[in-house]
Amino acid sequence: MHVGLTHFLLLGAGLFAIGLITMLTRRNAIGVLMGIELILTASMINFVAFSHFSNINLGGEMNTFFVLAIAAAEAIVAVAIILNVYRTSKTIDLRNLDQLRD
Amino acid sequence: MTVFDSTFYVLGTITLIAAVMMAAARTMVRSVLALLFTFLGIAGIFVLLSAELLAVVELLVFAGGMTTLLLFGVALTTSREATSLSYRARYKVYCCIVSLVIAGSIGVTLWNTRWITNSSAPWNTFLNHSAQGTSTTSKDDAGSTVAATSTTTGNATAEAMRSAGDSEHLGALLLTDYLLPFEVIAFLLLVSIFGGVIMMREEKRRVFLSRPVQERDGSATVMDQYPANQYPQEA
Repeated sequence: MHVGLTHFLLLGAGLFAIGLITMLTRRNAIGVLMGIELILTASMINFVAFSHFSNINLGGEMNTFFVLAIAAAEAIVAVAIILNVYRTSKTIDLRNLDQLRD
Repeated sequence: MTVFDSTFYVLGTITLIAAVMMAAARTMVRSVLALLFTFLGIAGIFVLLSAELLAVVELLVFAGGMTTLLLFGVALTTSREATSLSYRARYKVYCCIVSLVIAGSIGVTLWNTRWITNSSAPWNTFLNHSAQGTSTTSKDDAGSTVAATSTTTGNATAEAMRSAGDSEHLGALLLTDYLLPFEVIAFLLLVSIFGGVIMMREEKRRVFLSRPVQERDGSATVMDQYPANQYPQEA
């Protein structure tokens, strides 16, 4: 079958589902962060596919740049938070992290 | 089956298999490595969608930077007694069912939607030249006419920008039409760097507090001689 826009969007939907599964089932906080990154990347595939298959003058690729920058910034802050949590409570197991103070 | 199609299927299969391996990996390091292969496959998909600059940026930022950051995070936080990565099996089955129902509904919606694509754009005819005759079969008449009108309006500018090069035009757009989002994103990155550095400096302040603190009257007190939240109250 000829590959069109639908195939790329279906690939993005599949990656979104796998990212959602990862985000929901990981007990490790970094695993949850990886699931979030995969979801953001799936959205980037959708943006680039729409930009490629339509006449919106690279607007989708430009949006992808911004999604990418936000994903990078979010990863920086998230890893910093996770390392700080590990310092204070000696674990990043999300089942055990049920207190916001010492 | 053109080269475009087979490349898409190969790259999509690699990406999805690596993503499943990331979700199902037993250790965090294997999970991060599978995520690296997912990012590599997605960079290939970007090349396939003629977004070369985005593919390079994806390789640099995600496959290079993000993977290293996550590996450092895993290495700094993994303790030896932490064995099980995820919840118990029944909860995992629930999560999979919910996620697959969401993705299945998205997929059915996508499959039944008639997208008005601009398949006669120059870069698409370059890539899909053999499938050009059959690519409009999935469209109804209204869609074809709308696509044709949008093609005639945007074709000249699109061809001009494609001939100038993808990255060159993206750079020009970033400094003209998208200048305000570009500056906002730059500010966001700056703030996030500050946030990361300040959060990492928190430990140094704590180490400093555990040393004897010189009081104003000359006596030295050790702040951390009391357990947490049992500091003597102010008189």
